[in-house]
Amino acid sequence: MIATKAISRRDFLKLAGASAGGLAAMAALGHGFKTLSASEARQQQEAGKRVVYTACVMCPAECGLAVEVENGVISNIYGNIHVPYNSGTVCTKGVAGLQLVYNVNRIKYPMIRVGERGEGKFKRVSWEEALDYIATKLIEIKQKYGAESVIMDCGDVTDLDPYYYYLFRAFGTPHTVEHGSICDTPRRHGPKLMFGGKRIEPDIMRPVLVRQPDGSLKNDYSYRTRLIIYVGWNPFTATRINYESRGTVEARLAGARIIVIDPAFSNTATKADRWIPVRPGTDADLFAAMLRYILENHRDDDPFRRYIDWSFKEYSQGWEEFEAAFRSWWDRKDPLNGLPYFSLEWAAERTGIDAQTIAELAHTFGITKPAALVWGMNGIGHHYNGYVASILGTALNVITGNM
Amino acid sequence: MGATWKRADGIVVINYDQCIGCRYCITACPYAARSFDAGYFYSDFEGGQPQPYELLPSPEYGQGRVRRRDASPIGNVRKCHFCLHRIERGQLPACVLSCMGRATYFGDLNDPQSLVAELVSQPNVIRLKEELGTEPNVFYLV
Repeated sequence: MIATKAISRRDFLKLAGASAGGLAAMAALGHGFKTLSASEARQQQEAGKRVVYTACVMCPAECGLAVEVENGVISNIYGNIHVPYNSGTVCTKGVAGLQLVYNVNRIKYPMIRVGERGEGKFKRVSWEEALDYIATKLIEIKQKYGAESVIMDCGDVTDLDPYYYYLFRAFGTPHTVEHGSICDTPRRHGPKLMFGGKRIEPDIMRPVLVRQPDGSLKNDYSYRTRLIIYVGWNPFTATRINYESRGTVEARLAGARIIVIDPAFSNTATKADRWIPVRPGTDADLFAAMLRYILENHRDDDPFRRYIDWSFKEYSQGWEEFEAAFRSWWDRKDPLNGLPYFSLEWAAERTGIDAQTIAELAHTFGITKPAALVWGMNGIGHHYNGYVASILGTALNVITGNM
Repeated sequence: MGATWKRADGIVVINYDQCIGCRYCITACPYAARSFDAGYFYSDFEGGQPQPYELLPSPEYGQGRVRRRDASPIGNVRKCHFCLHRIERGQLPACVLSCMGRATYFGDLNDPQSLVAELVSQPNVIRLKEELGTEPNVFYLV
């Protein structure tokens, strides 16, 4: 952790978007340039410019943007400093959003192919004509071959997928495929089943707006998470959860321990406290062993082994059945390796991580609070073992009181 | 020609009205920080005319410079000027504001109380090509 002097890293972030409010602090940074008053700065900043606040659609992250418009033409795309999600940041892909508006090859009106496929011959038509053309063709096909002869297939259209989906359901075909059909489903399966959420993320989005007792909203910059375990999740590379790239580093500087479990030595692993390589596709085995270790070794009367926070029972139901079903496997032996299911040795044989490390991992996760066990798109989100892994992972987060 | 120099605050700047575009400074720069503006617009590569957004003035060295064919800064050498126009009105450089990973910092190194002075006093700091004695003011926290 870095000791702070006149300006802490946190203050630095506060004035990263320094407009009027941040100027006094900017002077404290000692930049050596002239310092303007708040009104002077605003005048200079806004001369001849208009700022339009909008959202980015270049990727599913949908960051808040502040778009500067000069005489009716977009001049700059900046992140919106008031949106905590991206906190004033914007990536180069977002800035390239200019090309959505101004690219010379942008298609601005409907075109119907007139030549052979691949010939590149199109004619410009009105929206009326285009819609009629598509509707006539679709109805023709429906009458001739039936509605189910049509497959709707679209890519990731940034949260517009449901409209395509509903349109073709209304048309009468159940054959709808879009990006969400094949991507990230296993990761969300457990949280969706168990508490209706989508995915579990660590509490490291800073600043975050917090309602104060007097009703006002205040930005909170403090990190409370003490341990983050990333399983098959590499937030330092391009990802829609973009606050995790800066939040992970800042949380670590604020004292959190970062453990990365990934077959590859990923970017995130380079900055983590510990990297544990795992055999691909065995994350569920690891989670099962962690859950068994925590259940077997939990002691209510020993502060060094009090892993489970029983208060979760007040807010949930069905733990008894879940636990009984899970425990019922413990005495059985896996025919593949002859070891009892979910034991440390069993998991060691399956995952390639030695038993001692798994025990350590389970103990660390159980004893450190607040902690977060996070699994990601890169591994669990795209593997059939992810369905089980996300259920076990959710249970682990819930019973240790980290939900 | 005296078209480029290091300011007292450490920022290396270029005077476009002095620069004749000989490009010797590009080969002389050990950090490959400079590039020649040959006059292309993004839309050229897309097969069209320059679009209105490409013809907006960009704030450089205190002037709103419009890129027009056959006029400065086209035909000059250009480089990062640490967003002088932003610094002068008390804002951080755009890359510091925009960085997704919050990996960049900017400030006055001469002020021992500043955050950057504190950061570069750590042991895990390097500068590129120190053996050349150029005393660069860009530090890498590794």
